[in-house]
Amino acid sequence: MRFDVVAGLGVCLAASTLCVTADAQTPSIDDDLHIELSYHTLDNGLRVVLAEDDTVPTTTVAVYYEVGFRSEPRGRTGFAHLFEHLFFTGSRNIPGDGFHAFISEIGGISNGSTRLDFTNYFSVVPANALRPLLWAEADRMAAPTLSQSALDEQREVVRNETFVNVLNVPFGGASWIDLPIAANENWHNSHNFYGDLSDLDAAEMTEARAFFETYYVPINAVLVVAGYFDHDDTLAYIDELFGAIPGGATRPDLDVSEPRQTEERHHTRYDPLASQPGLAIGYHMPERGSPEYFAMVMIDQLVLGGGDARLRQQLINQQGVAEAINGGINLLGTPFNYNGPMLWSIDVMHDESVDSQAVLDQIDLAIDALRTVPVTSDDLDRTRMKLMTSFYGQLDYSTRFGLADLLASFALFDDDPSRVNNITAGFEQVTPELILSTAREYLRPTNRTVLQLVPGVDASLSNVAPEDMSLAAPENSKTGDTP
Amino acid sequence: MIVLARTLFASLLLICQAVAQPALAQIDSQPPEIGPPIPFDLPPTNTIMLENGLKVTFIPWGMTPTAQIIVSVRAGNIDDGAETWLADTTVAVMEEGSAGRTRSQTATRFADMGGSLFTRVTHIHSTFATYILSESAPEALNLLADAVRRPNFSARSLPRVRQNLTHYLSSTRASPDAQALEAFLAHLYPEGHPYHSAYPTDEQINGYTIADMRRFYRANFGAQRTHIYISGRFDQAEMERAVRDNFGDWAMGPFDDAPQAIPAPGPIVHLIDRPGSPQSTVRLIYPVSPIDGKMARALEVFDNSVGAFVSTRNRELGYSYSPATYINWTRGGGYWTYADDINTPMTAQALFDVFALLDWQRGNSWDTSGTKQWMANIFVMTTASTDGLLGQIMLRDTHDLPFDYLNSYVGDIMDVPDDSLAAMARMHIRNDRMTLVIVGDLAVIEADIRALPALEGVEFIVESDRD
Repeated sequence: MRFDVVAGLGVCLAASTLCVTADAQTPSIDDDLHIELSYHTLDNGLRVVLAEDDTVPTTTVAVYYEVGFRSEPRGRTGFAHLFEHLFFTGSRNIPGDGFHAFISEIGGISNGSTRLDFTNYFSVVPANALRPLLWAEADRMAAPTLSQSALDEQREVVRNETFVNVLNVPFGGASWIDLPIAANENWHNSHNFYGDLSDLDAAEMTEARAFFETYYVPINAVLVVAGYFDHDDTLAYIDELFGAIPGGATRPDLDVSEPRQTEERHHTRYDPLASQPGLAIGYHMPERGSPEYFAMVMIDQLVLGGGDARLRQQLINQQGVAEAINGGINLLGTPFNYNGPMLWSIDVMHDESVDSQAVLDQIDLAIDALRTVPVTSDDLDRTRMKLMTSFYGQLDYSTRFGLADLLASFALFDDDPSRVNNITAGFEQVTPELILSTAREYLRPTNRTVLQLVPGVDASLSNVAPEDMSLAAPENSKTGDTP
Repeated sequence: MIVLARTLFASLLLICQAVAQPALAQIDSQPPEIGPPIPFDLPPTNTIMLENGLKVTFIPWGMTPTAQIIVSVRAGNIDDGAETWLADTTVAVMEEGSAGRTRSQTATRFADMGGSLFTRVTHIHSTFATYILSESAPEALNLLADAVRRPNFSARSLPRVRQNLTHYLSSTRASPDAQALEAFLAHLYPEGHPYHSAYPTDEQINGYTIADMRRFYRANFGAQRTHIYISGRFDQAEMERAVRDNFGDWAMGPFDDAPQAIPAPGPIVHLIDRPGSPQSTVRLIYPVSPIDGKMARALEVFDNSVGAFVSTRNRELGYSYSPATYINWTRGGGYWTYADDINTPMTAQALFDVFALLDWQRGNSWDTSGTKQWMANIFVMTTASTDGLLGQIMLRDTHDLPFDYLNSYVGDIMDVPDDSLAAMARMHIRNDRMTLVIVGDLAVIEADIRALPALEGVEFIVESDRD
């Protein structure tokens, strides 16, 4: 099909749009995938990754700052996320809430997100609008407005976001907020990432300014441009725009280490809005990038990935005790975009007629098999194939956000975005013996936390308002609740 | 919906020019000019029809050596009749195994290619899909053909399918979104219409037999109701051969004789109590004319314009985090929805503002050039991607729109006159046509909701378990 929207239609008359006239090039199916990229560090420390791809004349820009949930100060839970919102509320040359409007006006879309170890801002625009987009990102990196009124407004926005994503959802955030709280010792890994509402209320503008000056500086950031653009021209323009921004100081050291877990933990969360019981289980992961880490990524695929996954077969296809089972490594992202302690998690909501312990016993059967019986080479081959399609799926996403995320993460955490082209090598080294030894060490019961999810109200908290209760329960459960 | 404030931009630029501060050393106070449009053509897609009426669309476009195959059968909930979710139950049992293979064996075969079997039932379709490495595309098509054409319909799998579905329904019903959906569909469609009941009862699910599913399958599955979409990187000649080998001898099967699904106008207000709820889940719905009607493009511009305004305003005022507006196109009709989760104490005020805005829209015309330009840009940009193009083609096929629908869409949007939005709103977005459903803490919100001027004289239905 040909798009005949050429001259005469508004979309092509406006400067910010695509015009459709010539054939795109479709690579053959035999092409090996190799991301062409270049990597640069400006004089002020800003790392820049450029990845050209002219199949579609759109361009994606992602700016990653190495600050996330783990970095926020004690007593200010949720501050990293609140600041992410604040960063959209104007800069020296784009006043008010103009950033979204500006990107919209040049024909693009934009958004941001806060994660454990980074906060990112990403946009995709028609390629001819790349320069205005870069200008806007540079403007807010240099001089965000950070006004009191914006802080007050965004506080309410975040409060409503918490309501809709967590507090008004049955067991909302159980696996990605409550489980890390229960499983980790270090406060930086074990606080409420969305933020206690009282902490959000207490946040002040001076703190926002200090947060910006500490973390939102070029030396702590990566800029990725992916898609259709002229490499040399774009690099020169980036240097002109961003190179003038003071680089800032190296961010403060942060100890996010976790001690080796030696006893199994059990906690309980109640939710009066929920109708069915469940389990959320977390095992501490090996260090990212280690041979055992790659083995755990493959174990995740074996146990939870795709229709043939062992736990899916066992709990759904054979036992029929659950309708769905979820989990994975880094529930707020991917196995590649974090930098610190991490959980491999399993979460399942099950039929109320089945005892949670019985479900846990079934899960243990699958886990114990990994710890005692070597997987077959067929299992490993199949798992590698699943990982390949999963990886390709992330790269092939139409906005290129998946590609930009990988490039930014490898630049931010490893100073080596070219890892995107050899990520599969780590999986090639995984053997049945490595799976076995990794499972024995990291899937031992004493390395896990079991969070039991119980519908209804905990009698001991009956006088607490529901909005407080759902967040308070896991904290309280640390005092010794057991299933 | 992405938060946008298009109408504000022109004034922001003026402010920017008027009060521009001294620029930073290297960052100009004005943005650089946008460059000239870049010529581009989507790769040619190709649709063929086999002798038995089965259609295949090839979209040979992808960055990685992978392919996506979707077998879409025009068999969905619209075909349920009074047997709510018979389509879902049938497809769930089909997923349990085919061609003599068990579900587990099928899953392993797909996993060997890096993929999984994904099934889905919508209001009008059942889809069987996979995403696999390109080299396996013909074999994957063979497996999909087994799933669609040769289901085992094993009675042994039925108890577990029933258990899974009832379990899913139990957890789904706990969400306020599902409670709102169930309520408004019951108002939009009369008893006896397949869409009247959003969810089946457990008794219904447990009562469906393999014979019922075979009957549903015979009545709704066949070549002439099937469209296969193949996208990504693949050898088109090889895939066409695979389609002919695997589907060429399939009987044409039943005609598409499903009923229309034109929603009924209100007015009605339906309140559902959710004690302690921190937010009120709101669905404000107005029936509209169909996607191929004269007012469809005006409605789309209206939706984008109003949606952007409400979204920006509600966030700024602290009413809610993710207000949205959207259009559901149905067979022969459609409905426009304002959907929101509003901070409980602010529910009535937020609704008052929305009603006031809609009232203003009915009586005024406003400049929508920015909205239309943005829609045109986003349409072209999103359609210039494999998934985006696939989605647009499937939308076109679902509603039997003209083949050049995608080509003419941008021009049609740009041609929408500003004053047609108010005319459209006066016809469709009227208080006497609304269905309003609110799931929230009625002890806090009900009195103020009842006092809203826009709801004066409207029938209220209240569901509450309080004493």
